Amino acid sequence: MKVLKANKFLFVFILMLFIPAVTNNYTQYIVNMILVYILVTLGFNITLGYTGRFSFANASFLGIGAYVTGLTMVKFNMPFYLAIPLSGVVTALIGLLIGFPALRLHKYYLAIVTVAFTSLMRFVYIHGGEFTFGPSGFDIPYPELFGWVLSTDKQVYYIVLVVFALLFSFTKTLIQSKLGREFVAVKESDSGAEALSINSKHTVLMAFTLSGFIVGTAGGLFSLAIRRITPDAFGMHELIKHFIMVVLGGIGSITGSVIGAIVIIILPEFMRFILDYQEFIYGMIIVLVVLFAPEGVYGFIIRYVPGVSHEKLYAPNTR
Amino acid sequence: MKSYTPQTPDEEKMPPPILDVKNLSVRFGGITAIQDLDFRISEPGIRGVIGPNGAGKTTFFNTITGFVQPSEGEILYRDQNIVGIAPNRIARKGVVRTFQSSAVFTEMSVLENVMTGYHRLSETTFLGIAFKLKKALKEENEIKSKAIESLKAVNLEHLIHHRAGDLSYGQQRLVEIARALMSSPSLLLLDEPGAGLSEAEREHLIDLLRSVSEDHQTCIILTDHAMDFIMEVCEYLTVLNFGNKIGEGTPVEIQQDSKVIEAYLGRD
Repeated sequence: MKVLKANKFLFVFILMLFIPAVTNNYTQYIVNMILVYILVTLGFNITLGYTGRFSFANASFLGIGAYVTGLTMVKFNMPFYLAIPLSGVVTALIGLLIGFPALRLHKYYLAIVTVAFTSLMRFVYIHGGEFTFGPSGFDIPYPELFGWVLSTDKQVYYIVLVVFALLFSFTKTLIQSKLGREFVAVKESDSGAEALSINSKHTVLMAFTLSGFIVGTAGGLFSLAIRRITPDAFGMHELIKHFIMVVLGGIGSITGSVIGAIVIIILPEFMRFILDYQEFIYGMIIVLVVLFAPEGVYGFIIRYVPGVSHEKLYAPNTR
Repeated sequence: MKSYTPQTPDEEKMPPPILDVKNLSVRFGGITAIQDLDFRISEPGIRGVIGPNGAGKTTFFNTITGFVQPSEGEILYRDQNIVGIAPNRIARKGVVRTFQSSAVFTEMSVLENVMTGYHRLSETTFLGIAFKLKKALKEENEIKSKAIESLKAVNLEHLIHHRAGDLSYGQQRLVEIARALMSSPSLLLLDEPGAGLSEAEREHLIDLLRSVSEDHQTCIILTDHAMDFIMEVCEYLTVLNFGNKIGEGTPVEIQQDSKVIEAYLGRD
């Protein structure tokens, strides 16, 4: 018990092992998606929130990750436990590539270039012919572990959970170290950071590589969880979804990323009867958050809810 | 203009100067910001660079710290030419500066701001962070306690968890100074550190700068518009006007220099 108290994270992980006991296939699928999207939001937050670069390549990072895992599994019979890390590495390299224009382009120009990149990648998936299976996408085979086929959402959940736990704690550790402070320092003032011997260019490239790795790996999990991927899953609509998760939860906050992903994944499930208005509701969320809680839900909680420490608000190390 | 170094009994026996700026010129398009400037620091102490607005003080600081490239001339820091080196690498050598318009990280807490200043000395690697190596965790704790010490030195320990951007202008300057001191600089450039400070805060800053320069053998170069502050804290002054050096000497000498008086007050 003492060990559990000392390690909150391990305690939560053990609790999460038992989630499939209380879910059905449908709710389990939602849980899988929540875990995937927490990673997606966290990765987006590293470039957009912590390092303050207006990069909107996140949906394409997710797509690249998903396509790498899916295609290597379909075409080369690669086992999922190799395909998912490969997704992370490939997308990390793509992230690094996107990092270079991020060094030179001012905010809005970077936004335009990266949005264009997202559209370009969708174009590549659609017109990739035999290689990407074209506009209709393709089915992802069931993952196999030592000859044992993991065919249900509950079984896939354990893959998602293990990768999620490793990657989440890894990212949290990095952000809560001096690296997190460097990201924020570079966001606020390139020259201020340089004057403290922080290499601002390396820091930005590092953020993009890390973001690519996290979101790409999440993309691998995404393909396993969703079972079928199509080019349209990684376009502008998806990008807006990621953006709302970050803004709603809290820009530059780990807890905020978790809140944003959970809310935006669960919300549509309660709005099935008004699905046509989904975009309208997304728009309203953005407007309301920007007007009334510019620091996101998490920022709102730590600032206005009595009894919650203010200390957390301004420290990348704790929030 | 001849370079003049204070109290040099015997040039041969002196160690290499800490900072040796030779024939420095900085031009922006057709505008000359600094013209053929020689500037040398041979021993630790507090040096002042003064001059009317537009004299080239900030450009001088920007050039030494690598933010502006000189058109001509050399900047030797401990016998190494640092012209053309990226600002972060110059800072890594121990040349740390603060900015005229505060460069405090406004969204960070005061404590985090100051902790960031330790970057130059940090030995923690990416792997050390990722695998939570004991050494990395120990360093993080040390950084924290050092940052608190550094904030105590500028009398801001009661504000450590506040958002840095919420502090007054003067307090932000102090945070920036505390942050710069975290990196144990060997050459510290302060661009108008006294701006926005109350009389009491300014007195305290003078004591702090003196103790830093004496206890840690740090060279401090500072500029300010408050003459009483400059005259009190600096041991030696360089006066710039329109990018030219028009005088150099102790505060007493400078106050009697006819060229300097003319630059500040105009000709009769």
